[in-house]
Amino acid sequence: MSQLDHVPLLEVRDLTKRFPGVLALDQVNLQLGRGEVLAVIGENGAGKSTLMKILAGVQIADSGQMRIDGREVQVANVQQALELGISLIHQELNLSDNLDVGANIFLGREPLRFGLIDKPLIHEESLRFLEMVGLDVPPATIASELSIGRQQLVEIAKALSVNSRILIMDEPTSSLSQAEADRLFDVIRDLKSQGVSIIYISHRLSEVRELADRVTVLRDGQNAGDLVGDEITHDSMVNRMVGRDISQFYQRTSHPVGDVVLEVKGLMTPAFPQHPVSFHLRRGEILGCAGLVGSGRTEILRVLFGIDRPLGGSIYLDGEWKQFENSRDAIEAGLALVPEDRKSHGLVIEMPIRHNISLASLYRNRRAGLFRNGDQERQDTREMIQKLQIKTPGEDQVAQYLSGGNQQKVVLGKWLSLGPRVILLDEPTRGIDVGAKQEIYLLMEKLAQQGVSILFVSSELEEIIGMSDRVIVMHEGRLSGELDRGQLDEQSIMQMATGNPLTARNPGDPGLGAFEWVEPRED
Amino acid sequence: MNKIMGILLLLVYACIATAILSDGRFLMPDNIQNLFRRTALFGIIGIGAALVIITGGIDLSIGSLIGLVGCLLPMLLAPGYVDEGSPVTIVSVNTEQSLVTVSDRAGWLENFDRLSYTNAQGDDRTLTVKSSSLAGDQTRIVVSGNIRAVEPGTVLQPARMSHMNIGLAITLVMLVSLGLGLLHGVLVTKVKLQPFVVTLCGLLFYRGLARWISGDQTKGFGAIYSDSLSPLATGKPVSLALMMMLVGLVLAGWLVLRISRQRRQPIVSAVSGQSWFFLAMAFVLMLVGGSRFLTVDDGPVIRMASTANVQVYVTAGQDGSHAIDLTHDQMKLGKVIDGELVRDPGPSGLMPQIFLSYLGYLAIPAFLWSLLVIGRKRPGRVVLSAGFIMLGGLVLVGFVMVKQSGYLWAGPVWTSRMNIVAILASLALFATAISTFARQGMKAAGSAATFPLVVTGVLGCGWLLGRIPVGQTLIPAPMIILLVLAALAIIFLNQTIYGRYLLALGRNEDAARYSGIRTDRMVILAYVICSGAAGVAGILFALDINSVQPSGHGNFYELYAIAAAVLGGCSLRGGEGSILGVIIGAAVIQVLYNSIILLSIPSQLEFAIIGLVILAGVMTDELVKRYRDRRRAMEEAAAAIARQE
Repeated sequence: MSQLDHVPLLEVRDLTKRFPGVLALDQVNLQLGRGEVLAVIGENGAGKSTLMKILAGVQIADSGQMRIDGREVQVANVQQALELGISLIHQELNLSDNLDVGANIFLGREPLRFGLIDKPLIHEESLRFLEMVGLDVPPATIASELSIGRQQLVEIAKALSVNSRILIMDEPTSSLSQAEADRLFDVIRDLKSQGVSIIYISHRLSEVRELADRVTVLRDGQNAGDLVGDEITHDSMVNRMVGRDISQFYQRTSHPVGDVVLEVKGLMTPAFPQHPVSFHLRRGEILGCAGLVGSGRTEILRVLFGIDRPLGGSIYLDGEWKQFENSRDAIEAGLALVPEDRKSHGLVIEMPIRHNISLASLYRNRRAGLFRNGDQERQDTREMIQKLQIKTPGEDQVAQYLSGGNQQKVVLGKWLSLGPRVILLDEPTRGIDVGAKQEIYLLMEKLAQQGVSILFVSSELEEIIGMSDRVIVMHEGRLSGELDRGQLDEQSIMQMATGNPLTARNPGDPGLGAFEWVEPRED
Repeated sequence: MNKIMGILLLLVYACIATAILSDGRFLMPDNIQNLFRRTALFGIIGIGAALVIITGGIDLSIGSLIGLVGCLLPMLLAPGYVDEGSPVTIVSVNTEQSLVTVSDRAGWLENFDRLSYTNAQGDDRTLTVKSSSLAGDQTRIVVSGNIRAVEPGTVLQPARMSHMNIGLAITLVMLVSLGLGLLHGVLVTKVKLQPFVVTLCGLLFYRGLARWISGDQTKGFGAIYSDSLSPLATGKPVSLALMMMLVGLVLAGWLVLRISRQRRQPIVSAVSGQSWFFLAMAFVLMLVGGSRFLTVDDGPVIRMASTANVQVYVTAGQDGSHAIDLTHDQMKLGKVIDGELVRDPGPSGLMPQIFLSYLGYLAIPAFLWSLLVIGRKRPGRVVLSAGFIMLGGLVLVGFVMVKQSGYLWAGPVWTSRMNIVAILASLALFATAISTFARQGMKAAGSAATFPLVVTGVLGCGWLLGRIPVGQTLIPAPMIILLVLAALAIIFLNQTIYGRYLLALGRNEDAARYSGIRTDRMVILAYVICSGAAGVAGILFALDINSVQPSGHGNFYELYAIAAAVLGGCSLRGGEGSILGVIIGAAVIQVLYNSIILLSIPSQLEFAIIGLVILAGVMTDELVKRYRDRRRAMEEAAAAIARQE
């Protein structure tokens, strides 16, 4: 331990963090060398974000050690983390939209002159850091005028300005275009050569393979192995993340797909009125909807479900023209929506499971036009807890104290108690553990077999490919393509999702599609 | 329910402290009646405010709306006078009896009709009629007003008083209130303005409007409606004893239903422990109320004398009626003979028997309950019941002894006839209640730390109820209106789908909308109810005060309402609150206000004290919640560690 070179820059030992209902991190270890790009990968809910928040002082670990240059350190808040040279570049950007670039970079430690902010100095200094990240904008530009990719670079410049030695990037490319992402990679390589260490969190395994020197895999809050150099291959990463052969993961059996149930013609959403969208959904079909974040998928679901008013186009259900004034109309017509943001749209998180499950069906089960049917409510809840195997001490447990997967099951239970014909799923597996994910996949399969039609929006290509009978891909509000299940592979979808025309697949890169589609088994 | 327990304890402790510090003046019937009246009026607006707060909104316009209603109603009901019949000439004037005799037949003149005349200086003046009677061709009219200004020969023009139909006036005022609530709701939901801003503008606008339409003149009803409309606010229809018994009966019936329903559920929640607690409270109410409620039948209560250290009340003051010492648990002192109090030797040795006799009033619900229990074939309980039946013999002895001694009103006559059955049944009930309560009482009380608080609270409650002369204390009419409205609000909030919608959207409006709830309509409904409650309260306040200052009437009342809601467990973040809590919260504020007056604390400190108490209450609640969350997390962690090992 005497030689500095053998001591890693950052070492984390036995880090444990518990939230009500979940063990987010369970004795996690991590090492980071100087000038190293370490990728931390794992499924949603594996604990990556929690780990990074603890490193950056946003949250405090329940137990465990952190060493920097071999010295044990305590990180109790963001300020201390910054002093130690650790900066977190958050998944959601943390810039103040209304301030200019320079002000953002020096936010919280503005140089003063005569007690007032020294703006010229800020702008002068900012230029240096903007140059380091290769961003060519005047420091006086208001942050909101920059594209997302450029805002991200400003964040990095901000981190560099506090002499950060460790940059943590939490899914930095999730909302970037391909060109912007490529530029970011250049910056990362450049920083690396300047001796900055980077912890890179991403779902996109191809990026990881391209950038990372080393990979630490997390699964269900535990270490699931490290990969170095040549070991970093697509398959090895996936196997460690999922922890099982993923061909077992997506089980689809073939069953006949029926008539068109839902048809959308020239639908114009308030967010992308310039791109009318048309597609259809058949009985018993799982229609995948892929695309990058912000490509307009959620907006379509909102319009379909009567939350937003369409600006044009029409919706047909069983060939009948429908106009939904509000979500109750949509529910009455047999639609259900599991929204993307479970906590703010799917659940009333402080209410018990029973109240949540009955929320949508109270109206249908009402008595004398006014009164709650408490017996029906309890019966439905018990049925759903049993059917969906919601792990809870009781039906009066507050939803907040459930794990993400069980919360999502409560949302599903709310809709299934109504017996919908069309279910719109918006990122239904986001932030839930692997076991619950598989249960949801099984449930989707079962529902499809029963003739329920499912529109399945997801950003995880793997599950889109694994579960869909057919996939539509969206890019910046328009439908950029449609693929039948035979044509599904990661690269084609990604091409369409980033707005590029479909090109021939690179034979050296089999993509996920190679093992994604399991031939239907006859039982 | 835990929040309600906390605020209820606060109320009980505040009452006990004030009662002791004020040397018993707090418990005098006049004071209690006044307290009830104010609690009722503020409780009504509190309920409205609570519903709006549950949606995550706020209504600052309540006070101004009360001011507006207070001006509008007297103006709508202002009397008008129409000349009727031909002028009459005064024949004679009797100033001592305020009696004028006039030449013609004018027997149609009634109370509040007018006689106008021109005096010697040429000014127009009026006399107001009190009554009239025919005497041959002449009419004798009793009047009020300056009768010395008229003399025989003065010509009087009779005029008949008329006013708008009372029902119509109230309907109009309520329509205005509800309409303004609708306006608030629409501005908040459809125009998407912030509730604070909308209702702040309401606060300013309605106050200005009230001052303008009234010309800033004080408005009142005079005495015209003292028999028709005013009793809504000033009437005192039933005694506290009767009310306690009725409330206890309703509460007990509801809880028994609820508990028996909960028992059928496979998953028994902790709530049932609290149900037992409240059931016990309900029986205390029935017990104390039932034992005394007939006393009011003896007639209206008058205060007869205040001898030495003993406050003495007699009923009606008729010969033979009883005199009671209020400071000693309503012990009978003696009888009234020839308008004088004749003391009895004193019943000092009878307290245990009196207590036992009260147990006899558990009669009917107890009987039903014991049937339920025995039907379930729970051997343990049946054995316990048998033990209590033996105790019952003792109770019976006590009861008979008290009855024979004649020192107390032991209750209505019919109860004595069914006492044997009733007592046996009640004991079976007590057996079950106590055995269950012992098991679940701790759960109900929350934790070991709060258990002593609850016990002392219950004992204190009994102490207070024992000292309030419940038979002589009358319940003001607004309290009954409040109870009816509260019952409706409780059913609305807890039993209807719309109540659940309100609670859900208050917590998370988006999730509610995504579940097919038309949240805008629900929010509008909350504002309409709130303004409607303010309208009802406005009518009652105006009738009660009968002298409405347009610039000041109702000022700050919204803050009392919001304070009551917050004390009662509503969170301004929305989605949380209970009607019962709000009413108790309103009562706490009124008790504080009352204690400031009774204890001669400088009244300038009123707001300061109320503010501090609310702050303390809310802070305690928050700290307890945080403590509980932490304990829960720790327990969970311990359980997880145990699982791992």
